[in-house]
Amino acid sequence: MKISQPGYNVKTADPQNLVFSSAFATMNIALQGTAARTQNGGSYTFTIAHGLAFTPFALVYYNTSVYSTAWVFAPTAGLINNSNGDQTQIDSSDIRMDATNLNVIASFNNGVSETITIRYYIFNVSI
Amino acid sequence: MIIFYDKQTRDVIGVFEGRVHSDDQLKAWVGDRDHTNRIVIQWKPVMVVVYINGRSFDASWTEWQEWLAKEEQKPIASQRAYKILNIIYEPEYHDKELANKLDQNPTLAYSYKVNPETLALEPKDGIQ
Repeated sequence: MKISQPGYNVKTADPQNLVFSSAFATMNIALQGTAARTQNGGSYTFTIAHGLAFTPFALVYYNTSVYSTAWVFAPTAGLINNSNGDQTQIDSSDIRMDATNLNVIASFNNGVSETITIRYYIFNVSI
Repeated sequence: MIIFYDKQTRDVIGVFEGRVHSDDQLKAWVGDRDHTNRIVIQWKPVMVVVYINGRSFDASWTEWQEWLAKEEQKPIASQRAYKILNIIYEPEYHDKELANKLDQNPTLAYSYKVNPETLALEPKDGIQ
């Protein structure tokens, strides 16, 4: 089964001009959601048991109530929140996926109660 | 939608988005299972709009399933062709209005605490 992009003949279109083809694996979302944690300083591990029987590919974004409401793609360099250089961050080593869980370690800014919300998309594609 | 909450603080700590959850999604969890619990809000079909013999009809989902079952008992050549034009879903939750709001804006769930006995979502800090 194939679906072509508008303007392309589905019978002759190249793969890059298809919207969908049953001949190719489709990267569909198995699970998407958010998780939130409020604390003052320190770190916290978000644990999402994904329920899949393999290690899936995932994308993670986050925002913080103190620094920005914009969604930041994780991992990222720290978001500096105060003159002491305290940071809210989720580094590259802090996003870990295995056949059971997605673990995301968030570091909170010191000195102020802060809420970090992560948004994740877990795909039906094995790493 | 599946809403996870901390058993002790009753705060919402995580949300799985979506209306109909698969078995794999129902196996998934946010946080430590010993310290968290969840509310599962599945959406179920309640009405269907179908096109049969040149006319469109509204029917409840139950009536539709009964009609299908009778048609399928007939010889294939006698079965009527149909086309489903639309299926209306509703959340299986006591507060349907809130469930609809959460479906549109899932992060709204974090403005609520959970009553663990009734599994009702109660606004926290006077937020409405």
